[in-house]
Amino acid sequence: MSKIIGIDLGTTNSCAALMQDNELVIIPNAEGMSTTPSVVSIMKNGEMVVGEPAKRQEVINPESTVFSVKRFMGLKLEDPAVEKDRELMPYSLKAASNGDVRVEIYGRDYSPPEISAMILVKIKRDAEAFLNEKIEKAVITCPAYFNDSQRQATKDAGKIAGLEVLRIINEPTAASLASGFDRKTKRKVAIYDLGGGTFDISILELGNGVFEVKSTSGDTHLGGDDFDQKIIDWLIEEFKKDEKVDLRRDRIALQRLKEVAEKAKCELSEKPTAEITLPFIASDSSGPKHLNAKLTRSKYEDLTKELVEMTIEPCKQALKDAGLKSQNIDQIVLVGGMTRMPKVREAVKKLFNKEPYPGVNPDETVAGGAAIQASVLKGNIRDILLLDVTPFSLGIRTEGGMMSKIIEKNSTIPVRKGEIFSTAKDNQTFVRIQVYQGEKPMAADNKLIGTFDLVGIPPASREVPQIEVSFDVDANGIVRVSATDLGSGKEQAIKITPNSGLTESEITQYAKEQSEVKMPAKQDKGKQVDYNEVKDAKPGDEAEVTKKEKKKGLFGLFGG
Amino acid sequence: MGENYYEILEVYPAAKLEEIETAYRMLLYKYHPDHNPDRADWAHKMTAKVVEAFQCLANPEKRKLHNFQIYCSVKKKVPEKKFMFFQKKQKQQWNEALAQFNAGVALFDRQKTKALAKFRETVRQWPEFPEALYNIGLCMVDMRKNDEARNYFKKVIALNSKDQEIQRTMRRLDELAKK
Repeated sequence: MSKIIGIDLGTTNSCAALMQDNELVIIPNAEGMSTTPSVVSIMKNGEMVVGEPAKRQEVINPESTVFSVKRFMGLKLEDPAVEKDRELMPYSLKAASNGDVRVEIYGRDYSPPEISAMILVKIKRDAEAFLNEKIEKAVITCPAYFNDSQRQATKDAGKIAGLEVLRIINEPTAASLASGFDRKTKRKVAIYDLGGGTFDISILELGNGVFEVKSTSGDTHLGGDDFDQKIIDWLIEEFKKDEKVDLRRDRIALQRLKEVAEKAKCELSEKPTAEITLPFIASDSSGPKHLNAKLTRSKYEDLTKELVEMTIEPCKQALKDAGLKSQNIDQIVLVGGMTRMPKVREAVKKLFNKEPYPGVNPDETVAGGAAIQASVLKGNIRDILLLDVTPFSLGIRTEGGMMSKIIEKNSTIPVRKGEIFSTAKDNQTFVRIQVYQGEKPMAADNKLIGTFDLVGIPPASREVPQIEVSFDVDANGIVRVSATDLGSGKEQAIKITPNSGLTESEITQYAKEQSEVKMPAKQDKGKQVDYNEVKDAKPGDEAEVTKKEKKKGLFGLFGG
Repeated sequence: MGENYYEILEVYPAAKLEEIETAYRMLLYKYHPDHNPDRADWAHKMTAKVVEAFQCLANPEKRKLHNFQIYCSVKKKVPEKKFMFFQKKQKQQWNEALAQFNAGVALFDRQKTKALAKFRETVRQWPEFPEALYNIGLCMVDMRKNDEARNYFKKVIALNSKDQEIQRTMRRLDELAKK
């Protein structure tokens, strides 16, 4: 049987791992790093660069370099969270015919799963090169707080990349698998996962090797990117005060700011101050202007205080949903790059009154957990079992537009619940049912995940037909609906129209395109691609870069 | 619903919580889709069942209610009633009540509220219908309205005081109501 790899498809960085002879191996990429930046840069000729090389040239191609695409997975353009994030992205977004987000680059629309698939293809190819073997199957992680369409989109990304996604597992749950606990002792664990773009908290109970999630909560639009943004905003304000120039309108300057902000953020986890210098960031009649700033840790903590606090409420909610108090938690595990920030560790320590579990690598643990789960699915590990929950309630719209809950949030999955439907009129032959996900009492305030029609109901007087509709949430957290006519015992025809996502034919088409695309040969050599080389790699691109951008791009060399 | 959770978890009804937990985890290993990749649908269904059973029995309140429900099941059979030729109207009324009653029985395991409505309709058509009154009582217990349930069971006793079963049900209800 071929190998199954575990992939942490992160907002800012992705990572792959594998269980080999009972040993957890983190698979390095072609550049020799354990994590790959989740960045894709698309060239005019359709060629693409992924990972570190793409990140390196973000500055010169801001409009065609896509980062943090995970923030848009499975969402509609009109989603408030998308509206907010959209302003921060130098690349342009538009709506597909069904309202889903599309990224527009050189006049072609890319769906977020397609972009994610490009990252997955790189990971897959690098893993194949490292293991010297074809990889066709994977377990991919997603935030625990992802809804049905976001999960579906993640699965689609895998399919487009030519991977059979055996399971979608939640990131915090994956982290718990790889945290190296003694599996036999009974205990309660909290996993606090603050990554590049998402925040999750999960409360688990361990016993006899069963990792049972009790509750989960979080925010799919809160992460390291937002911390960077706080620094960027501060730099822009400072610069405006000193130099009277607004950098906000300059996409290239913004990109350079983002780069230094991220660097400063990381530095401040280790050091009390970070020096930020960006020469030639702008210019006016008096000549070129340079940005020189000193950010202290206390100032940085001040700027991001609100963001750290935003993680506390979901923690309390998760504890409440699990029916526990913070003192009942035996262990707390920190995952995600942002948990390196001392202030975050301090806030968590204060809430749970406990030191975090030591020895957990915040960047690699999630991928490790996915690899362990892959090994379970393969049948190599028999003494581990993951039992997750669904993060949202699932219900249907009933009379008066109310939401009638069928599956409560934090229900253990897999779960199956049946509900009986009947007709409202005599000789009615079909019933339309709208499925919603969310906690609000009114259906319209929740998220419509799909509509289905019960068809072929035998003619009868109203309220006589009894059709049991089963709502299934499978182990991936993905919803399925089926129906049985209790009168005849026959399976009813059911047609589900998902409210979002890609169609089967779109997926097949994109998958075909992906398999044909060749990544630039340079990448495979594992050589660091610098600015000039990227330019050389795509001569057809030259014309696209305007003169002004060229100039700015050159400045980027000094700044980097 | 309508299933014996102890049977699903393969434990004795007197099992301690730890025993139930152990049985639950063992059954998860047996049934979970992760460990049964070649029969995913079956695994999904069985796991969902085991989880449902465990979540009920792990909660002391729900377990008490389940204990009540497995011993006091819904009444399905009604003794045949004979009418004289001049009681045509009553006969019609009785048949209508009986149809409602049967509809209620069919719904009982799946949808308590709808079943309750059917039994109420039965009693409206035919007030002295002990089986329907009994079943309304059971629905009330399910909704945690123990006092109302007791009132309905008293009505059943008033109609047929020699019924041994209703006496047992009353005792079980008292046990359930005890803290």
